[in-house]
Amino acid sequence: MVYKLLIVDDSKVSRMMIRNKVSQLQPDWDVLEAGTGDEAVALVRAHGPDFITMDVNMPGISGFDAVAQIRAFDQHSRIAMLTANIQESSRARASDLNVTFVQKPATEPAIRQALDYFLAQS
Amino acid sequence: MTLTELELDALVEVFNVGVGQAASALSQLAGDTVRLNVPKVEMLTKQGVSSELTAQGAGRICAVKQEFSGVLNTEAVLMFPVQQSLQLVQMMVGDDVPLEQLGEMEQEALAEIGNILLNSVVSGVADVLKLRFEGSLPCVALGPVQDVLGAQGSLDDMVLSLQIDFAIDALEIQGFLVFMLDVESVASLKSTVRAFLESLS
Amino acid sequence: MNAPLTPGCDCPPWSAWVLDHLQLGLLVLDAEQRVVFANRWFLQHTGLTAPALLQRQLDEVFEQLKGSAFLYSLTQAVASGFPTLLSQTLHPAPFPLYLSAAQRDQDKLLRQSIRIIPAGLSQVGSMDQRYTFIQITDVTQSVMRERLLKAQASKLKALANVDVLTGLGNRRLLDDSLPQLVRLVGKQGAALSLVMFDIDYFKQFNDTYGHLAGDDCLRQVAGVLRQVFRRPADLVVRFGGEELVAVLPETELDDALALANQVLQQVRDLAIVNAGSRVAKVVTLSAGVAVLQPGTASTPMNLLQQVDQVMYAAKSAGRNQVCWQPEAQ
Repeated sequence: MVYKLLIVDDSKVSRMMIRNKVSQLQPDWDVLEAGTGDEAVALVRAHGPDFITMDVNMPGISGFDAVAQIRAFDQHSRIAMLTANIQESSRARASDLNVTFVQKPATEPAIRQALDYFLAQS
Repeated sequence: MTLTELELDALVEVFNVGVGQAASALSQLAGDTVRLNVPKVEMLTKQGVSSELTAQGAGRICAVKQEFSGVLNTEAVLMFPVQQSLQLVQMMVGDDVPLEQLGEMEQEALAEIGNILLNSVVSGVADVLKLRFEGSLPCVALGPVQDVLGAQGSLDDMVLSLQIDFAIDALEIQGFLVFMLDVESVASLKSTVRAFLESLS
Repeated sequence: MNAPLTPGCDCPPWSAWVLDHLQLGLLVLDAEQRVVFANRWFLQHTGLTAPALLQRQLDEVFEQLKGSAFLYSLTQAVASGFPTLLSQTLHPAPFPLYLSAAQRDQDKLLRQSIRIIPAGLSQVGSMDQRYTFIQITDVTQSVMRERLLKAQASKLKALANVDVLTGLGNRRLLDDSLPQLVRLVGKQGAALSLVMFDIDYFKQFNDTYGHLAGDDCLRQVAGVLRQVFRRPADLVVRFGGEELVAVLPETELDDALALANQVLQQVRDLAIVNAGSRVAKVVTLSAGVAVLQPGTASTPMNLLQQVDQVMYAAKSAGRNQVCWQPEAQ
């Protein structure tokens, strides 16, 4: 099935690396990119992606703020938050926002973990 | 010759992969979760690095140095302010007794910590950029940052400089990792990073 | 004894002899980390023979290595190809190495500093496979020497804080300790009292009886202070020639005054004759008390100035008495 993925990260290279890995594992998917939280919210409104990878640590509004804004109008997309500091991202927060946390840096195992989460049968 | 914004950005990502491996290895050693992050990569002169460290109040540093050779030849120098080096060793050794100064035994412990970090980082870089390196054993140097960096070559030489955020338990310290690169190595690095970026598009 | 060197290799005739007789432990592992060489030093200090080791992996031979940091480091080193150091500090004795059978019985392990050196890119070409060698140095002597040096340095430091004549702390100790004690007033919310004592007509005492008698008098007075201010947190120092200071954490004015008066009485009771005194027949003290209350900003310098002034007030008021100032300003 052709899914739509939105990659959100302030680092262009990070976005490139994630896109590259995803396109190796899921070549048919439609991949969008956003460089800031605000851009991400706008893109979600406009395109309604199925899946989102969201960097936690960004200038401007943080990944958490962006997710909160998105969840206000979109409950169906699956979101994987990428963070270098998994401790801070507690389980409570994860279930509050209905997201999963993935350890940065975005190596292949990390991306696979995100994809497994996205594709899991509910 | 210098690296572009995008190339430096790529190096941040590449180093973070390496540093992630270092964090695993150090966590094993410490028996506690170690978190490492590289927030910034820059090309600076040795003098520039020295000024930055001094401005942070870290005039006297403890350094672990290793040489790596291959497609790139570099001397890697990992630096922490002396006080923080003490705290780091203390944390790893797990002693309650505060260390007054870095004796021979503590310096060896620091050499091991630096060795693990440097080997993991360069190993990670080698994996991502598909490079091969040979390494060397670590050696420890103590003193004012200008003396440690300026021991060979001149303070005007360019280096690749990474800030490293190091956190273990309640301890948070900041170190610098500097790669001395000669002109050919900078060129090699640049073309390797370009090739890497191209492979992603 | 060990696997013979590759026939036809052009190693100098002394190679095997040197490797075997090096005064440190040497192990060579093949590409699967099986032992292909263990030198004499290693065999002697483990009490093992070559057949016990050859063609086996280290954690097969040494149970204690299973799941150890050493094994983890070995795996990392082989994977990365980078030389690796294991310090004695973080891994005191990974291998069961002893100086002698007697020491083995007493479980006196040798302290080990280890280097793991995998064959690098440039060496692999000249060898049939990627070997790794492990070098183990006995650093037990160094460790003992460091410990001794540290203990001596500690002692020296303690001595540097002591006044030789009286055995009380000295000015340096006071200067080092006071800032923290002042800070604790705010943190713990408990008052800090300072009492400064000065021996009355001490110059005259020395002129009359000589300096040796003066020294002895000081020692006796110090003894009284030590006896009266006995709590572990109390600090008593010789501040100057004939001035002594007591620093009393978590002590209010009333208690400080009571203790100061107790000291004065006990010194009078020493009955050290002082013909040079114009206020008594024996050696007496003047004392000043200053108290720092929580919530009052002050510095060690301020506090010392306060107590100094108050002590001089006692002098002006006729000596052989205690004066006080309730709040440090």
